[in-house]
Amino acid sequence: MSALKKLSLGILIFLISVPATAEEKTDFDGIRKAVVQIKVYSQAINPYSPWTTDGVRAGSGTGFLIGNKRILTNAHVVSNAKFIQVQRYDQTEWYRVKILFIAHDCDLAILEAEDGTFYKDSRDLELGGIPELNSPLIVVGYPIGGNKVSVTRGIVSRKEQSEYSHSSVDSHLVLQVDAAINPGNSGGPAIQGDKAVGVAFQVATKGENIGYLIPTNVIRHFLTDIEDGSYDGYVELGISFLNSFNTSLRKAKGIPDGLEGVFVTRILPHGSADGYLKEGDYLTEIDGSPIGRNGTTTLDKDARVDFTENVDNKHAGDKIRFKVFREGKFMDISFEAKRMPDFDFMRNRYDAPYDYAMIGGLLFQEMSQDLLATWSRAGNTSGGSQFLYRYKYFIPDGINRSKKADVVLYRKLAHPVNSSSDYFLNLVIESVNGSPVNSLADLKSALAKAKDRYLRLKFLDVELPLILDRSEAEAADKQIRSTYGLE
Amino acid sequence: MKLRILFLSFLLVFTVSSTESKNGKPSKSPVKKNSEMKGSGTVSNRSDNGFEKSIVQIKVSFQEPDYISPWKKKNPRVRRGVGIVVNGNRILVPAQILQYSTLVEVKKFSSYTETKAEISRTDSETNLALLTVEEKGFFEDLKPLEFQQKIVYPQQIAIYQLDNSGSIQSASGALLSLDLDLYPQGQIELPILDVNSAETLNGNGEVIVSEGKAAGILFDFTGDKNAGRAIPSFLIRKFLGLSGKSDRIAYKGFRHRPVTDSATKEFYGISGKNEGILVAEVLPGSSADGVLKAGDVVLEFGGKKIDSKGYFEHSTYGKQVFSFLAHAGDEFGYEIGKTVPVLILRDKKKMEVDLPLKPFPYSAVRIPHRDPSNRPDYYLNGGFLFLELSENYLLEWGKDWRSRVDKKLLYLYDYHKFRSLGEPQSRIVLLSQVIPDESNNGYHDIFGRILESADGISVNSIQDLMRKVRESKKDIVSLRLDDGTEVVLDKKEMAKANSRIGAQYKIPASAMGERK
Repeated sequence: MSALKKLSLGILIFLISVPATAEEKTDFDGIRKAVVQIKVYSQAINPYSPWTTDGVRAGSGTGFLIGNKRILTNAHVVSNAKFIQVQRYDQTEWYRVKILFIAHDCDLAILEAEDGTFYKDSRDLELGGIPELNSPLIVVGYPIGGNKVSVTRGIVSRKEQSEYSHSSVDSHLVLQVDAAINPGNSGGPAIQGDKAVGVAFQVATKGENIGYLIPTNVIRHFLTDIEDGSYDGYVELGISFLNSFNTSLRKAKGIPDGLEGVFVTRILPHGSADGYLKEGDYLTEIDGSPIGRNGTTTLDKDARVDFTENVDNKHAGDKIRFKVFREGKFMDISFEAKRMPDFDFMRNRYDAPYDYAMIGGLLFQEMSQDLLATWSRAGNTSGGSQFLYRYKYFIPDGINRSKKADVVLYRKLAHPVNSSSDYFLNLVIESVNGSPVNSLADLKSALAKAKDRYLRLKFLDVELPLILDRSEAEAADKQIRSTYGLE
Repeated sequence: MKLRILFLSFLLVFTVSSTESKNGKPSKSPVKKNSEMKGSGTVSNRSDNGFEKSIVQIKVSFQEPDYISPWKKKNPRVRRGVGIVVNGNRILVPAQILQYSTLVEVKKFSSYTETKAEISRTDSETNLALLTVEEKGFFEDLKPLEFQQKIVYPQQIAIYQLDNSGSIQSASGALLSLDLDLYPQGQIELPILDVNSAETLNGNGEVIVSEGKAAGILFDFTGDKNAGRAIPSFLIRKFLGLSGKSDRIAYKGFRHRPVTDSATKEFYGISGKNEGILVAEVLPGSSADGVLKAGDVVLEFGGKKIDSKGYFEHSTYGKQVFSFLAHAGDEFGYEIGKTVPVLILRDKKKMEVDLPLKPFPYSAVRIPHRDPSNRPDYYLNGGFLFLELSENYLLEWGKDWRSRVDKKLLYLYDYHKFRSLGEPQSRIVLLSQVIPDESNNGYHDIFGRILESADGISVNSIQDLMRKVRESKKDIVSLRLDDGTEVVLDKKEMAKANSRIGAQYKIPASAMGERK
């Protein structure tokens, strides 16, 4: 489940490659026939100058065969890829592959080689369950420093929900292992016995030898999702909750002694729970599993995890069933799980161009994680507290109830027509000639249908609008496009 | 959430260490300065026109409030400065050096001991304050200094102060220019002199002298830029009541924006080439409230033409921002109680309005800012610590506070520091932290969240919250935080918790529960 997870260790993603360890009964000779080195040439689009592309980057990672010619790897290995090739340990030729499915929210992707000879003498790995704490495993892959397969050994040290840093917003179950996972390991299998029990994908930036695996429940969720031929992504429960440790609060709310559960504090607009649960509800069970006063349910004998993990394993359309204590009565409330596209702007984006609008050399985009990252890299976010607040609180403060997106004046291409617009840089636009701007599409249509001599661009928290002479601004745009090399 | 707590404790340590390093500076620097000045051959001249009789040394013991733990004060420290003897047996000092003072002492050239002084008046806008000394005969061998009526610049000037031994030290410098800006604790833009000097100065009250009279008081100095800022003498005369009828500063009551591009000019109907500024925002309760509106174009202010960047031509000081006329316009007859004629364009029509000059409307302040009298008002009960959001609270995050504080608080500070016309007077109340006790279990991780309401009614100050809790007929008061969290205050539990918390965390009983 995505949800805004704030606490997380600094996490580093590795481009391709995993170390592997020999396990007691592991048939390593067989396993390496399933493990693939992936070579990627990628090119990103610069959100600050969305009409241009960045340079081409070379990278390498790992994947493994899971049957039906499919190669499973991390999404971050093949994001923004222009050209991808694969090779197994005993091959001399590189084989071109295409991406069949890519899921940025859980950092997984499926590739397939175009030439069938790639699969000759290969082996598929079967997916196992979630390994026990303190059980050994090996991680196999092609980490930095060579293109020979490598094996490293580790122990499962923790199971918890944690941030998947590829998207920067989604949290799902992870397995923490004390194995030496390195760049290039990404996408490689973790093996227990002869089954794959996880995919190596990121490490903690602080702390040594702490690596993370994507567990098989997340992999299976992905594989189920794509069965219909397209990837839909995760559903969101869309609530915030508070533990029920406080005796006075329990008393004030009339919660019976000993009844465990959590209080709903926020219903996020457009989430699955929107319209079904209420703020103040006391959730005691999800799908029949009791919810503890700290908000956890039992995952297996090793671990209690946030009850939202139940929702994370669902697909759009599945039922979520709660037992709720509301106004002194127990109620059963169930509703359909659904995706929440509202969170998309907070995800790192790949493989897609950035839409923008320009008027009088003023460039507008919908607020996004990528834009924010570019801003901070350019060091020009000082004083940008309006968009930092709007970004972080757009959903928690319910701004998304009435608005699809904040559109910001993020840059200007200097021209005499916009000489006095600096004051408005990095602010959120509210309306154009009185018509509200709640998305980039709104802005474009407001600009297109404007007939007045003047464009009055009203920005949030600023009383007076920015004034442009419409025909002068339009004429300037033609000039600016050619001067600054747009399109 | 645990991480937040760790983060906080880290911050606290950070803040303490940074203030202590600041602490070292003022006490050390005078000594260092002496040696440097001798070393650099600066004149140390006892017979320098007898200025030593007009200057005293000030020693201020002070203790800053602690906005994180507002029942405590930070470690006492000492800063030193320079005072000027003025008529009426008073001593004039920059107000900033008296901030949070616990004891003020003065020492004159003829004495080796310090004498206690009392603060008789401070004005944070002009950054000036007056001290009196009760000791009989203290002023007998002292001579009041006079102040220039007008400032001439550029010119070379002498800068004077007393050293520890009571001998006068002089340095040289130059007056460069005069511009409008805010004083360190002020809300109103006022004239400030730019001073240049290659010598090591502190900027804590050194006197700038030209032709035997004081031209200004140095209140800020940056050694690596050789640049300092000074309070000009005509502002000092105003403060001392030597010019104009009122010794208080007027505020024009609105913010303005330049108009430089042709589309905006035409939109507002400005026909002249280089004239007019836009009224951008009017503060409630101010001089401009009810007189000007956002979108008005000011063409003339007090009979002076205003250019499109907001400047007028001052006969002595050249181009100055027109706020000069409202804030320091005594020579033009503009001060509190008087009106300023303003020629405006409203809806493209010219009209004349009269702006009655009033002081800064502090009732418009929502997030207190740089106000030296601002001491944290707080409410600590049952371990729940409530505070009003202020700049000083945010500054507790240290030098990088802007990148460290919650982005919502930063946003409010940047864009909603003042209330708008029609909005009620209110402060932003925070549940700043929860001091852990068994009674407030479950809430220990809350930190710096905005308190929206108590029993469903919005809360607009600490006093308001205390009153609501006191007057509630129920045992339990329900609070709503901005993230939706409901916090319940159980009055009986809180009373019991206070004694436990007091003993455990060494918080005096007087700090807990209802306070005046």
